[in-house]
Amino acid sequence: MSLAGLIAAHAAADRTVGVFLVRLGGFAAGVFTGSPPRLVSSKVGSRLVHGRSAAGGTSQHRFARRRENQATAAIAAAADTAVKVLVPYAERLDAVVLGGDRKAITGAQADSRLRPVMKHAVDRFLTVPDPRLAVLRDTPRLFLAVRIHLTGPA
Amino acid sequence: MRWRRLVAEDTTAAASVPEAGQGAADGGRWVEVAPERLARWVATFAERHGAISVEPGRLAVTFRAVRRSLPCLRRPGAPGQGIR
Repeated sequence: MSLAGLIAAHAAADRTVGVFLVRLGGFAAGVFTGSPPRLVSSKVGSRLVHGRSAAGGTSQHRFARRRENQATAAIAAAADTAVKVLVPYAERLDAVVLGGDRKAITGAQADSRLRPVMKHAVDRFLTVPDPRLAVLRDTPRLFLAVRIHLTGPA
Repeated sequence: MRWRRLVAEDTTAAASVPEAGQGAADGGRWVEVAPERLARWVATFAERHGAISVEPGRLAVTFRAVRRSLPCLRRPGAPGQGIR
């Protein structure tokens, strides 16, 4: 087998991979096993988080506070979901792939209950739209992809 | 060279790993290729850039052509597992 074939086989090997996606518009957690990856456990959800108000005045601060509280609740709900879906697989996970919005995921992954899961987190970050089940199901295409760094002549 | 551009949007400036299609700090470019397409992708690269030499590493493999080189990274989903 060619080296490219070996790399491809390595990338597509049978592994258990957890995926945790968080944006303020929604969140999703799932576990994939097998080759090709099959979604064996998942949960998606969303919480209402209002957009920023462009209007000035005292109400602007009120809206900002409300939005901040909504965002905090959304991130807490995302962490709860990840605990339910990912923690039962913590000992079997080969990797955890995070994605969505970096600020939101940073808040969610700080939950101490996720420590046994987050020790498997890898560098690759999936930039995805608001996490829905279809988005979660499509993540193997992203996390299995082989990253290639093209450079010019040395 | 036909580039395969993927989503490059990121909502923060704190991204430590460049997204596919983004320029790298050293002026290169990152692309992502599905495993099943990799062999064909490398073959096409060789056709366009001449004979290539291969330099295996623990975390990456470098294919070097006359006019271009590409370190081909393994996916980071398998901690501690090098390319065999």
